Amino acid sequence: MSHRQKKLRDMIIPLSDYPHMPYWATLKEAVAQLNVAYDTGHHTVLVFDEGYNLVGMLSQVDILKGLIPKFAEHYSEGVPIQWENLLEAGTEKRLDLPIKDFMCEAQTLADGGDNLLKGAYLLVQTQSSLLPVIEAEKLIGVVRIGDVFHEITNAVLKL
Amino acid sequence: MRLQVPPGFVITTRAYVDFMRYNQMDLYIRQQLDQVDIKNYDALLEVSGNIQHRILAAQLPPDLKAAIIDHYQLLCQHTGSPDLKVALRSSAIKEDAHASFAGQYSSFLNVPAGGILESYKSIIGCQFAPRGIFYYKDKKFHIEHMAMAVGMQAMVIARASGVAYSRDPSQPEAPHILINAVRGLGTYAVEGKVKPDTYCVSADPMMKIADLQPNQQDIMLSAHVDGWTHQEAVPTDQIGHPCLNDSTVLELATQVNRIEQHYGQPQDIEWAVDQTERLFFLQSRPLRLTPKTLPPGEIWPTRIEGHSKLFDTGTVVNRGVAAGPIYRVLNEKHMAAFPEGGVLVIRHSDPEYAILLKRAAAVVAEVGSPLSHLATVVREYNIPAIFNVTGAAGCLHDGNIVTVDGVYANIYEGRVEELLTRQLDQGSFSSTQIVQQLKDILKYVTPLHLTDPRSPSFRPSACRTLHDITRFCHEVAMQTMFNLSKDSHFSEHSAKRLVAHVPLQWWVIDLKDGIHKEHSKKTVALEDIRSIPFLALWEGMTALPWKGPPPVDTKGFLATMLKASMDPSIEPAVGKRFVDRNYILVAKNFCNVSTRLGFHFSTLESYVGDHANQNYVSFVFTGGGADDARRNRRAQLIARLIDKFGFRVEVKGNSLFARIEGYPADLIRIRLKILGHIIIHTRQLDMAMYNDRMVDWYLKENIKAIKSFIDRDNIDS
Repeated sequence: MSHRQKKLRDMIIPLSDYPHMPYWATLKEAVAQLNVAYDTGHHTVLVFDEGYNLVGMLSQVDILKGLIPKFAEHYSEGVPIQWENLLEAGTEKRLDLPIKDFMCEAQTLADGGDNLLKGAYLLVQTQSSLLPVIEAEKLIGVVRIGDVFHEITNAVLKL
Repeated sequence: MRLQVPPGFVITTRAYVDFMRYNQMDLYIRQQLDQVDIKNYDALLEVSGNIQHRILAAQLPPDLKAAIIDHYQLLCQHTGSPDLKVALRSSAIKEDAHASFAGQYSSFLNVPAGGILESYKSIIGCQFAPRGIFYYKDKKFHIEHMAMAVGMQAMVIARASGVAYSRDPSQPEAPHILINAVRGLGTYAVEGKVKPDTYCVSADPMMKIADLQPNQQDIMLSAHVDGWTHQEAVPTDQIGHPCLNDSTVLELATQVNRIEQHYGQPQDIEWAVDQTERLFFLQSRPLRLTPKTLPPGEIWPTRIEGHSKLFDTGTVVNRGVAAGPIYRVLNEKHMAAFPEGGVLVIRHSDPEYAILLKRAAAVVAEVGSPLSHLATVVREYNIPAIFNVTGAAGCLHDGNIVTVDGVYANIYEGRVEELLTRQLDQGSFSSTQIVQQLKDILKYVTPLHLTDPRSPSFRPSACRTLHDITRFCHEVAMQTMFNLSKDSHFSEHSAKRLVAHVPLQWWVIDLKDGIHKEHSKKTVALEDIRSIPFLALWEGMTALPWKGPPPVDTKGFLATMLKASMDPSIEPAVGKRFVDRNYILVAKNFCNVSTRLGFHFSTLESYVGDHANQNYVSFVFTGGGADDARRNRRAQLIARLIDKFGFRVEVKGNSLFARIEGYPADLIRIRLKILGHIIIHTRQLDMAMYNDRMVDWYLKENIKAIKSFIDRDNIDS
């Protein structure tokens, strides 16, 4: 199949292969899930509500910001960030907070029939690394920016 | 049938249950079984010793003791023998029904009056011999399932005794009856201790002894005049002579044939002949056959060129071919190290070795009969076996690879691929009469035709099977439960809303004394509830804060929700289901709690009263909205969790069925508390069940959480 014929449905990672959690799960549960999923190369948790609708995504960056609030702030150069920031009081409490407080809401969806350039466009526009793909209102999986990038650059090198 | 059977009576399985409960044995045994690794023989031995010791030290309930003594005295009167000796033999519920637990249980012969009660306890204890534990470990110990009846019969002081098969297992289609006979009591025949005389009687066209192989039996087991048994030397003038005369053999064969006709399937029969040559039948059970025949037209080679034969004589006990490393087990100590896939080489067919069969590729015994207990179990595991291979234990060396050809009783050096790649026809156990009967019955039991409750054919007259009937009843019951306010016999006012700080709607219906009498409002507060099991459950549900979703709060961030659900079955109307009422039926000692939250459905029922025997909790959980693998993992998580607290659990796909019973009220209340926590904290966790490691993680977290609100001592007890 040439890259021109390729649709997003041909390159999705099926939903069942991807980590997911309900939005009220704690940061600690999400950390555990990404920890056991580390070897699979999936580094984002898809977040669902009780009706199993996708409501957001929780990335490694979101988790780090949640664990160490300093990461979420803007400081001038030279601000000291120490291990103590991770170990300080309050971290355990933050681990008990629900992930909905830290996730990015799902902003856009692509259709399985869209071509991969459309997918790349949506990823760039929303500045995300993961694009949910639906077919007939059903979420069928996600496309990763790395995979889209690889396909596009392959095409570029053949020009 | 007018067969001669020694008079006697049965100490029933109910007596067993009473005995175990009276001594509170079940929890102890379950704990012991839980911690043992069945592949570790030493550990098995230790646990077995612990349990048996405990049983022997236990007391019989006074009424049971009196009943046994009374009935023994009646038996003495009946036989006119004031100091009658008896035989006690076990019969567990499952012993003969599905699998022959041949020789897994024990018998005591020639027991005098003073030894009856102890023998009864010993027989129950023998259930927990290493081989018994091995069988039951997987099934978890449960009193009702393991309950064992003990038969007590007037002792037949046997001159000769043995086993008869109404068919020859190696050629079941032939009209042959096999008889094994030994001098003295039959124990030595079934245990394979001595080589018995073997008679083959052809039943067609008339009874005729087709073959007789007398053996050199030099020791025998005899009944002592004061009770119990002892080993004796066979008088030298009898050694080498057949122990039965022809007329006894033919009479025995004739009766065996009748017994087979009576049961409609091949039988494995224990018999005895007393000093006056009267023939008694002691036991009859189905004979397991795994008939295997060569595919039509195929010739099984009697020797394979280029491979050296180590042995070429012996008795085929079960046909088949297998290869593996030799491992000689000459005493119990050797059993622990028996390797997976090894060829088991033993001196005699002691039933103790049955526990190795699960791991063995083939069995070779120096001495043993195809009618022994071990042979029966071999056929059950369906592994090739050759007995009576003289010198095998001396000549075969551990670790050497051999191929056991259980067709011509050959043992080859190395792997003989020409044989190993051949297939024996597995035969047709399925065509035996009992299986056919079962199939005929199952047609009216298992198929389900009422699959769609909305279909017009979902009505009683459309039920064609038992499954249909139960499905219909279940659906109607559920509808009634969920429509209580509309059209049940409960009045509109009988359901009161529970006011509590939990974001689910709970409606309480009082069956009797479950709610404080004075209460007449439309709502009910927790303080007004009197139901002991429900309060325990609720305590667990609310012990730790609930992290679950708010019920119908779609404001805030959910407003931005994208319509992209995981499951095509999820419809927009689904939102409504979250406001479904959860019904609780309560009485002082009872509750039935049905909860439905989205795609998660659970039912819990419990009775907690003063009598431990009546107390129970049953719990069903099913559902989920994530993919199958995740839902199934969630069911596994719950199963592993509650298994730790003594529940019997069965998981089928994403559904779980659990039950615990027979515990005192305090222990049941703690189980309810734990279950309350689990019900609340594992719902919708199916989403998070990414892989098995995630299941492990949640298991640990939940146990930690449960320990935070349940006293540690209570968990351990």
